Parts: sequence; C-alpha cells; structure tokens
Amino acid sequence: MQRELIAVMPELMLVGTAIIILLIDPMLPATGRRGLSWLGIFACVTAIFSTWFVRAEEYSSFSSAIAIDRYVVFFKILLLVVAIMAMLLSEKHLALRGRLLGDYYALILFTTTGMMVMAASIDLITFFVGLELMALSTYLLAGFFRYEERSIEAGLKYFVTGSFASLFLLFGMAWLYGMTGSTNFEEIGDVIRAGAVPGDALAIAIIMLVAGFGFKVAAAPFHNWAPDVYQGAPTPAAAFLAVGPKIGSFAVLIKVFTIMLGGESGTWLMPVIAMSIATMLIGATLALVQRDLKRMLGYSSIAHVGYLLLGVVAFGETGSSFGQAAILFYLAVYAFMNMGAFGVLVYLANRTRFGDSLDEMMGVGRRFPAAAAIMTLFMLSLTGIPPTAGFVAKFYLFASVVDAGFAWLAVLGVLFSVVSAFFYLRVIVYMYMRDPEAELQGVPAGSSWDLNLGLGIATAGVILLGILPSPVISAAQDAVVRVLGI
Amino acid sequence: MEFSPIPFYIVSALVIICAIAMIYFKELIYSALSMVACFMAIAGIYILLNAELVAGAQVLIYVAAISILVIFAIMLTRHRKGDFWLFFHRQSVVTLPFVVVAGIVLTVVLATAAYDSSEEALNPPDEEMARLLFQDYSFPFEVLSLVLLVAIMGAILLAMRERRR
Amino acid sequence: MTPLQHYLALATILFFIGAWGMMARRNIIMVIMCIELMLNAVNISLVAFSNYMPSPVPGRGEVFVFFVFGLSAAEAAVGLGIAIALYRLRERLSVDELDGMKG
Repeated sequence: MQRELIAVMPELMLVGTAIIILLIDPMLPATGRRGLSWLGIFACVTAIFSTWFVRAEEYSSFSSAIAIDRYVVFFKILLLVVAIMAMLLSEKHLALRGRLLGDYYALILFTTTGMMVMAASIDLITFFVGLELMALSTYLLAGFFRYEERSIEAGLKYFVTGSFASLFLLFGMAWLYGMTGSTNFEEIGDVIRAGAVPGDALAIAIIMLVAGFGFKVAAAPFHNWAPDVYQGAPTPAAAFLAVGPKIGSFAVLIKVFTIMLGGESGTWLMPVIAMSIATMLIGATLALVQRDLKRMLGYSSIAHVGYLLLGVVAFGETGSSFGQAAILFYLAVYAFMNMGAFGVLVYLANRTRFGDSLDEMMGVGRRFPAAAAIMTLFMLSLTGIPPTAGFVAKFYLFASVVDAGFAWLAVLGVLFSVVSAFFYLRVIVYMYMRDPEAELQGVPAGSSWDLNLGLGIATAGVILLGILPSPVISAAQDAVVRVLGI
Repeated sequence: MEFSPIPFYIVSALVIICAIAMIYFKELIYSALSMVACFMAIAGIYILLNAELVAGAQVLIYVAAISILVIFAIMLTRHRKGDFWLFFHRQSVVTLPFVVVAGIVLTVVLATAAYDSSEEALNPPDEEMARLLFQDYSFPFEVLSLVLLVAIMGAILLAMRERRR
Repeated sequence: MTPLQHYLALATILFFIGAWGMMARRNIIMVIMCIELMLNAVNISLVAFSNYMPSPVPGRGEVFVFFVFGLSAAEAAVGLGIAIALYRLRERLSVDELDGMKG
C-alpha cells in the first residue's frame, strides 16, 4: 500500500493542487490570482523531487496498472519541467487578455497528470484513461479564450480530430485485447510472439494504432489540425500543446511498439517509414510559405515529428536501444527549444500589439535585443546548427538511423533539415536585417519577470544540452534499458 | 447456454437501420431520436451477449444521459435543421468512397478471421465485474473520476454565462 | 449460439457507418453523435470478445466498456460545451464555416 502511494505521489500532488486551485480561485479578487501559478509551479517542483526519490526503484503497482522505472522517471521529470515552463509563460498573457483564471493552471496540471499516467501505464485501460485525461484538458486549453473566435475554433478542431484519433486507438486496442484476452502490455506481447492470433486481424489492429498515434502526434497524412490549432490557441497554451502531448504520446508509442508489438515490426515498419518521410516533407515544405509565425512553428513541429518517427524506424528495425534513447533525448531538446520559440512570441505579444506575423518581426532585433538574441538561439537550435542542443539531438537521432541500416533515410532527414534552415533563418534575417515600415505599438505594462524566468529556463536548457549533453543522454540510455529488457 | 441466432439478427438489423437513419435524417432532432433508438437496440445486443450489467449501464448512460445532453444542445443552439450534403459535399466526394471501401474490406477481414473463440458464454457474473472494477482496475477507475472532473470544469468554463470583466 | 464473427461484423459496420456520418454530415452536433456511435461500435466488439474469447481473467472487456462509457460521457460534455460556446460567438454551427485560419 505504501509503495503504491509512493508510486503515484507526483500525480497526487498535481491533482491535489489542481483541486485546491479550483476551490480557492472564485474566492480571490482578480489581482490575487497572480499567486495561483506559483502554487502550480510549487506542486510541479515537489512532484519532481518525489519522482527523483523513486528513481532507482523498479516495480509495478496497482495490480499492474502502472509501472515505476527509470523510463517513467525520465518522462515524468521532463513533463513536469514542461509544465513549469508553460505556467511561467502563461500568467502575464492571460492577465493582459482578461482571462487570468485558476482553471487554466488546473487544466495544465490535469494534462500533465494525464501524460504522466500515460507514460507510466503498462495496461491498455490505464493508457486509454490517461490519454483521455490529457486530451480533454488540451481541448479546453486550446479553446481557453472563449470570447475569441479563433481560440474556440482551435478547440473545436482539436476536439474533432482528437476524438477521431482516440477512436482509432480504441478500435486497435479493442482488437488487441480481443485476440489476446489481456489488457496488460507484456501479456499481450507474449501472446502475439507465440503466434496465437490471426495475422490479418492483427495487421488491421496495428494499422489502426499507427493511424491513431499518427493523429495524436500530428504525423502526415493526419497532420492537418496542428497548424490550425496552434495558430488559434492562446500562444502560451499553444507552446504547451505543441510539446506536452507529443512527449506523452511518444512515451506510450515506444512502449506499445516494443513491449507489445516488438515482434511484429514487419507489419508496422513500412507504414511508419512512409509516414515519417511524408511528415518531414510536408512539415518542411509547407512551413516555407507561412507568413504567420505560429503556423510556421506548427509546420515546423510537424517536421520534427517526422524526425522523431525516424527514431521509431531505427528501433523497429534493429530492436536495439539506440533509436529509443535518441528519441528520448530529442524530445527533451525539442521541449526546450519549442517552448522557447513560442515563449518569445508570447513575450512580443505582451510587450507590443504583436499579431504573430513574420513582417512584424522586422526591427525586433533593435527594439528587443535580448528577445531577438534568444529567438536566434532557438531558431538555430530548431535548424540543428552546432553548438546548440538541436544539433546534438539531430546528430544522435540520425546516427541511430544510420546504425539501423537506413542511411538513405538519414540523408533524407538531413536534406529536409537543410530545407527547413531556410524558414528558420528567415526569422533571424527579418529580426536583424529588415527595417520596419511602421513601429509596433507598445503595451506599457507588458513586462513580467516570470515570463523572463520561463524563457531563461528554455535558453539554459538549449545551451546546456548543446554543450553538455552527456548526462541527459546517459539518463536516456538508462531509461530505455528496462523497456527493452522485456 | 443455447441461444437461437434469430434474436441477434433482428436486433442487429434494428441497430444498423437506426444508425443509418440517424445519418440520413435532415432534422437534427430526428437524428437524435434515432440515435436513442440505436443505443437502446445496442443494449439488447449486450443482453444477448450475457452482459446484463453493461446493458443496464448502456441504458442509463447513453440512452438517458448522453442523449439528453445532445437534445439539450440541439435546443440550446436552436438549430433544428441539420445540413444535408451527403453526396455533394466537397470533402465527402473524396472521402466517402474511401470510407466505404475501407469499411467493406475491414468488415470482411475482421469478421472472417479465425479467432480462437470458445463455445460457451464467458462473461462473468456481476460480482466478478465488481472485483475487477474496484480491485484490479482501481487505478484507472480513479483517473476516470479526474476525467469527469475535467469535463464538468470544461463545460462550466466554456458554456457558463459570466459577467464580462 | 451466434458465432463471434457476426458480432464483430456488426461492430465494424457500425464503426464505419459512424465514420461515414462524420465525413458526410458537417454539423457539429451531428459529428458528436457520430463519435458516440463509433464508440458504441467499439463497445460491442469489446463485450463480444469478452464473452467469447478464453482469458485467464474473464470479463476484462466488460470492464473496458465501463471506462469507455465514462469517457464518452465526458467527451460529449466537452464537445457540446465547445459547440455551444462557438454558437454563441457565431450563431451558426457548421464545421465547414470554420475557415478563419488558412494557409
């Protein structure tokens, strides 16, 4: 009993704090709500400590509903750091738009809880419930500015596509359960490896799972919703939506495709290869024509999903830990650089009447030198230029793909990175080398030190992971050992 | 336990007819009513499958709760005419053949596969269900309560009329 | 006794009727109804598998169905909430008119 409580202590902290926030929010005056984000951040920090506390343990808990191991600890800490950054980025923006409500922080905490449950799950039902907790909260986050049409539209689009994705996943899971009689990942994997299930039906179940995950992580041809949702959602929420759910989905995807379907990689490898090429292609080329920065970052995040799927191909082919560790490290780097890039947009939107368009970036280099400098850093990192973290992550990922014998896929990946350099570097050119026709109107009360702190964390993450990647890489390698050991 | 297959065919024909009717009706409120009928017939399928508890929950949750939610939404939006673009819609022209073909292929493959099924009904009595739900699956059950909490919160957040600033 | 395959055929057909409805009908409330229909289709397959397939712990499929019940209720509440919020902003309700964002 005690061990089980320790296993879910981080989740309990987040949920308890979310409920406290919901309860005290209506009693506070509008100005008193500023403290609520710190309550949420405090909960995340304590949750990180309580996760760290069990880092060396390995056991399954609650009748094999969840497992505690290094893999889960890695993902939980990463997700909690993302949640902290999301809350730091949000407060001032919400206050300026008149929607500073405790519900927002509660939703971020619930989303994080859902993703942590997903990462820890070793059972179809637990996975599905965690997924839905994450999904429902993210629909609401996207539609949080309910008086703005774009935001509600984003929420609705996210809801329709997200539900569709859940349906595909559920359909696949129903057949996996049905053919094996179990909901536990390992038991299902054992039955499938024993060859006791009809092959055609299994192939359809796997395709359904691949499509469902494709929807969830916005891989082509299921990517359409992502730019719309990121453009319409409140910018700090978009930062969180572009990062958090992807980390959570990949955490389960790796588990599902190794523990459960590791023996069936012949069935899912070809679809995943096709999907990753299409995703890189669509992400890199459609980002070229975007004039709206949030849409551009949306397509850029699609391209990054394409690279991450290359890692899935790598471990599917070889079954070695290299590809998985590369995905884990890439996700960590992606979290910092993407949160940072969206964070700079939040910064500009707070300080000026910024409308997210590329043309408005003209002259930012002179007017906001610090913001322009870190935006440059994030753009370089997203492109994958040394010495930033993005370079190390891409290098490691492509190395794993080459190691798996897919040198041509790695070459394609590098090629698409070169294409993507064009639209990332264009932002830098606009910031420093173009003079604006009209000055952006300033907002006097727009600065806030917690946003600066959030950007600082993202910057530190990108720089530190770029020059000192080895602790995180070795943590990622440790993390995947148990998943592979099964 | 020996069942005649006739009830299954009657009930499943009812399910499919109601489902198609739900999509075909132009009036949204008729669609909602055929949805209710469809869910009711599905409860019949559960009884044939020896799952009375699920059938009861189906009536309570789908036939009662969700249907009322849908009907309330229809009334709140006062949008009584559903748009009917079945064959002229710009997206459906492309996707419809795909859905039909995928549906036929999947139905044939999934329904003809050789499953290792048993000859007797295996759904356990309700006591066993309670044990599973509150013991083996107690953790997802608790998380499910959070999902419902988020749903309540979201409905209030989105739909409550508030004094604006 | 009716063979398992017949129930699975019913479930798959129902799932694709729902998918068809989602493609063909673009009214938001209709889309939500189709999502519920597809969830029901999956539920039928889960209960059927649970009744026919031997398992060390019988009844897991039925338990899965209870979770899907709860989730579909939550999904309906959130989806209809979003639809009503949008309607209040727009006074119209078709998915196709969601074209504020292009690119």
